[in-house]
Amino acid sequence: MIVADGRAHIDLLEAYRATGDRAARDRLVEEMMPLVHSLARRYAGRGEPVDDLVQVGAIGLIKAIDRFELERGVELSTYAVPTIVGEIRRHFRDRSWSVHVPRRMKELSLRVSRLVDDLSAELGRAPTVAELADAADVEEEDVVEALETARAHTPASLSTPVDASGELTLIDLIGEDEAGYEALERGSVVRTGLEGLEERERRIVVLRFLKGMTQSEIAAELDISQMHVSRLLRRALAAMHGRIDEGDGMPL
Amino acid sequence: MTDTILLTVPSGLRGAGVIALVLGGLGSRLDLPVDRIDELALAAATLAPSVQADALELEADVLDDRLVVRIGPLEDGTTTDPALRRVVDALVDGVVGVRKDDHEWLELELIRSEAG
Repeated sequence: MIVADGRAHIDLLEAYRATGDRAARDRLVEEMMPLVHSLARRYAGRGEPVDDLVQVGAIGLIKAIDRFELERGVELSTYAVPTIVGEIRRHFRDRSWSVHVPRRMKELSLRVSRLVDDLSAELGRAPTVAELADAADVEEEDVVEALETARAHTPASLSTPVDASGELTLIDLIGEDEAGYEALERGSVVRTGLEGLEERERRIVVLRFLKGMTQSEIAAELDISQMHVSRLLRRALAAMHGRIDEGDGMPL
Repeated sequence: MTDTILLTVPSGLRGAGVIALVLGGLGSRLDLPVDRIDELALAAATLAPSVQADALELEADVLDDRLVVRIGPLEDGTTTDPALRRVVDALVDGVVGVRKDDHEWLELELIRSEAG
């Protein structure tokens, strides 16, 4: 018995299974993203930005689509929910602070991170420390510490495989490769510095250093927070130095 | 009037967090936007692995309209490394290679614009 979420979903699934049509799966993912958003919101306020939870939830959705068997007799959404939730929970488990951070500072860093995005949208530029302190009703020294705490939070790698084949990565979910990457390939000077970086992980560096986009612009382009862009840039540049040390736990 | 702050931290990545905190405080005094302070700290962190000695030294001049940060002593060739310069130059408003005590240092400058 086949009970998927409507004929359209069945058609998309069958097209993907029969021909490996990635576009069909992408469309299916897109149509089911409201489910991911709904589940991610349940975990809001627990120390992780909702947009990050949506990203990892999308990973769970893709895994569910890849594993779903039409003959199961359950709806795809029913099958996908535990996979999406499982991925979000795993995200919480995996996300660890690289140094011991008091709970109060964790909470403040998350609040300040959100304020950076909110005030950036409101002001049309990144806020100052004083503006953040005023909005958060804390001292400027607390904001400085909170910002550094937020940056010390280990980010997920954009190159982490998110599907069974290992070919699809997080960056596939948030955009196509930029034409600027070709410029990167041609630019021997930059290539020299980036040779140690995984191919997919270079994109954010390309956007910042070759296309000249600001962190806020990259955040908007990739639909992630500015603080997340900051963390990813640190990770990428650390990788360029070949100095990433899992045991060290100290991001740039 | 120029205030100068001197800081010595262990070289390598662990010192970068302390530097980021200090630069955050100094940037705050100049009322710089947080993304610009962040990129100055990122530039400093990018240089951290190139420090020649066991300790990274940082000298920061806080002026009315700009923050000038000197970092060293750096491994020979760091100040002219094209890939590293490409990155660091993009993160701050000015970069100058200087020599101090017969070692290479980089001087980074962040200017406060009218827009902040």
